[in-house]
Amino acid sequence: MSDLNRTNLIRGVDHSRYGFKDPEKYLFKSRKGLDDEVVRQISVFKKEPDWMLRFRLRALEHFQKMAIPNWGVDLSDLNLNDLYYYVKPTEGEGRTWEEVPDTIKKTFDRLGIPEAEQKFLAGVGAQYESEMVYHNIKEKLAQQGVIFLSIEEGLRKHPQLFREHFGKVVPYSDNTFTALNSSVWSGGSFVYIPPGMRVDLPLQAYFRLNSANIGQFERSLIIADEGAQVHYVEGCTAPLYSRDSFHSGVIEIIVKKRARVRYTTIQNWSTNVYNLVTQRAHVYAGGTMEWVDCNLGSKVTMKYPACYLLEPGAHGEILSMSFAGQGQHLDSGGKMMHLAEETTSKITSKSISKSGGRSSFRGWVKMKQGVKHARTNVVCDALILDPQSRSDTYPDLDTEEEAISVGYEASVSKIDEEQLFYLKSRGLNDDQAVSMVVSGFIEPLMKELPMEYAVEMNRLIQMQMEGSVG
Amino acid sequence: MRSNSLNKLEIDLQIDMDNIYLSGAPDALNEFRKRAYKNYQKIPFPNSSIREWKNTRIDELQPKNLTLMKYEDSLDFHLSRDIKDLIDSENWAGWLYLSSSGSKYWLHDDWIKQGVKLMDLQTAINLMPNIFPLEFSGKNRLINHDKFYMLTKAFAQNGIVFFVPERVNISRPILFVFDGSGEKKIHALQHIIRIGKLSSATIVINQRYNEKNEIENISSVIEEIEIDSNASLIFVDVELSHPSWWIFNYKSARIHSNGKLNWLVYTEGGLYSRHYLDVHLTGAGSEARVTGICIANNIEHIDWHTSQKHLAGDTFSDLLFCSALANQAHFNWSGMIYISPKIKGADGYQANHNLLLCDDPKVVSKPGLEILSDDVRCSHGVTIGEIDKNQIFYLQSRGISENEAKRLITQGFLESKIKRIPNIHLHQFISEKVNRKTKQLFCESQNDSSMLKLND
Repeated sequence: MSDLNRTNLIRGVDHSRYGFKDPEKYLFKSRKGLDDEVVRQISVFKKEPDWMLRFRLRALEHFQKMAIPNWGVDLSDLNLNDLYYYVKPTEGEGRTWEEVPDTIKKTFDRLGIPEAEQKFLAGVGAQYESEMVYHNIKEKLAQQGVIFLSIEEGLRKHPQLFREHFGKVVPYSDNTFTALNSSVWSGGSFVYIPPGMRVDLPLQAYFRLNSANIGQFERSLIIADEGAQVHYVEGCTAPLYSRDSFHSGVIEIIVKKRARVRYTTIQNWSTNVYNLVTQRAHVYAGGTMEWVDCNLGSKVTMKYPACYLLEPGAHGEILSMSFAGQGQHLDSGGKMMHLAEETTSKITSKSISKSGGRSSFRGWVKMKQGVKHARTNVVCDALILDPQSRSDTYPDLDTEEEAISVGYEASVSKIDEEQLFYLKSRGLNDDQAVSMVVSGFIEPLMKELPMEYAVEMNRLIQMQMEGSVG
Repeated sequence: MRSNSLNKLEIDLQIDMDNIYLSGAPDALNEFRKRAYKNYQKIPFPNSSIREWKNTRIDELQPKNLTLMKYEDSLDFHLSRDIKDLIDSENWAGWLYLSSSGSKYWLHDDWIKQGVKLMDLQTAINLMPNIFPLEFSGKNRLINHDKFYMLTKAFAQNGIVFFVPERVNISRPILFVFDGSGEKKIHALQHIIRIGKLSSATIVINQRYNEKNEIENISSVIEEIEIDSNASLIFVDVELSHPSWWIFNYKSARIHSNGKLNWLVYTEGGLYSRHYLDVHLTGAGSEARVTGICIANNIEHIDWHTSQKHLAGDTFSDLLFCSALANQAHFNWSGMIYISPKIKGADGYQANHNLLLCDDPKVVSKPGLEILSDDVRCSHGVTIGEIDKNQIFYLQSRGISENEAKRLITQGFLESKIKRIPNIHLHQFISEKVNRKTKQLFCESQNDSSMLKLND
């Protein structure tokens, strides 16, 4: 398909597709605010073992001592006491699509989840408000030992495996929002891939916030055993309310020897969601962790996927894209901790700012003493589409070893007039030409997405681009 | 514990309020210094838990019994032999020597006739009291939250004053030599340099520090440069090693329309040195090229904080910082390019290249961009790494020892940056210093490795 045709096709997309909202219906909604009682209530609802309740309470205690960060994005309007910390939309989790309550089913139908599942997913999970409402995995994979469950079910069915890894990659004391998440977490996925197993099709989770003033605290734990391979994709949407919502996830990933995990996020929250996520992976000898991070929505985002390269030969990669439109401040980037010899990493960041949006890249590469022959390369490019927008770059390269190689480069510019002129001379109008240049700019990232997601991403980008010229 | 050390400086510094008043200074200047003193008192003494002071060794600073160094000409003050050698050269259009025991300066008659002023700050206050309140009013203020900056604003005892009026092109460079000496002293100095419209000048500052039984001293210096429209300045700023000195330097330059600045800073490591370098491109078409060369070994520690502020359209800045580090030296660099909203055609670049020679020196490099306009071209790059093994192998195959090969490559790496200053005479001046320190670096590391072998 020619680019022109594609542009036309994309223009025909129903733009209300992600912005709709359902009437609020829920089984249980905690009262506003957060204290011991709310945490205990959540734990009771989830019929959790005692150690988990103790973990939650410890985290809560820690959270109460911590301050809201004063760097990065502006969180001064965020009122954590005005949030509902737990909203249970339905009784239990559906195993087949029919079991999912109609209203919720309709939502995910509109997002295209069941059709996608049939076509190209190895498994799918869908989270509505605080709970996973649907989880399914192809039978064959389940027989081979692949576990793909909601995190609550993971805790119930595989308590030992769960306890061994939970909270180990991201301790609750890591930062304010991990402490908060650890005390009220609900929903998310639990994935285990047995040794040597390769899951060819991606596993997918879909997150949706429907109520206003809700806080969603999903928590995922992914374990790829030795030599295993998996690709996990998450998508996030929420309708636009006049009052802000809050999403603070914690993702923990363990990549064992020679395993390979790719975690892709397509974040399209509505522009009133605070999105403060902690994602971290521990990578062991010869393992590879890849974060593919696309940020389009939310009011503010603070998200720095991290790889802790713990053993020789571990490799980490972060591919980050952010598109900040009006009123948005997307502060994203990544962290690479080189803690062993011969570890390698790569960070590629692409950011676009438009209509007064602000996109920031914040990266941290640390090389500890003794990490001989560690190598890293960081590249970030930014595009500013109009004079009102802003783009920032704040990398931090910190090395204590001599036998290493660190490369970093970044550039910020507007769209090249010559490129636009060239495209217009081929008969494209302003809008199409700008769209095409933007598509080309993020092409390296698109190539890494599965085809279906690349198409969706393109649609989302086009929606953002709509009316950007003239 | 920490709160004790916080108050230590205030208690122990023992700077008498009377030091605010410089003899002969106009009231407005004294008023300004009083205000600065109030700000200084409000700022807590820095420690490494403060974000800006992370990765520094500020906690080791024991300011006990440090007192302010008075700058008064002593009767038996005369220039030492090596200074005479340095300034006798016919290469200079003028020179100024400044130390705590006195100052001397000389300017060629041609330039005196054209109205160029070159003198120390105390003399300048007495001779031209009227211009000072303006110069001191903090127009060039780059940071107002820093303890040592405010200390210097309030208590500066002397400094260098160099004014070039309109339409004067000084062909040969001007040399400033500062000799730091003393025991447990705080040296507070303020340099003011102004190049008038359509004028040009070349300045070299050579800052040297004595060593006496590792007795600590503090040097806190503010350099304020103003380059008027269509003026140009080549500025070479050399700071030699200072094993027992704490150095705090605040350098800033404002460049008006079509003004040009070519600035080279050369710093050798020491106990601790912290430098701020701020370039404000305030006029359309202004340009700044900044080159930094840093060499450190042993446990020397160098901190650089640079910023390039594009405040007008069609401005250009290019900053390059290079370091060669050995033996647990510590180098921090943080740089920022800021492009203010609604300006067109700004072009900013910054780069930082670090060569790691041996024994795991520590480097923290933080380039930054804050771009609030779209019609810009801005980029930056950082590299950190060891010497390319192939290059060493090539030189070895030509019969050069490994150590010598490394020294040559390091020297080449640093010397190539000196060429960014368009003045051949100055190349040699800087090269000598770079080569001397590089040799020292390799002699020491060679000794270390031979000692290791003996131990084995």
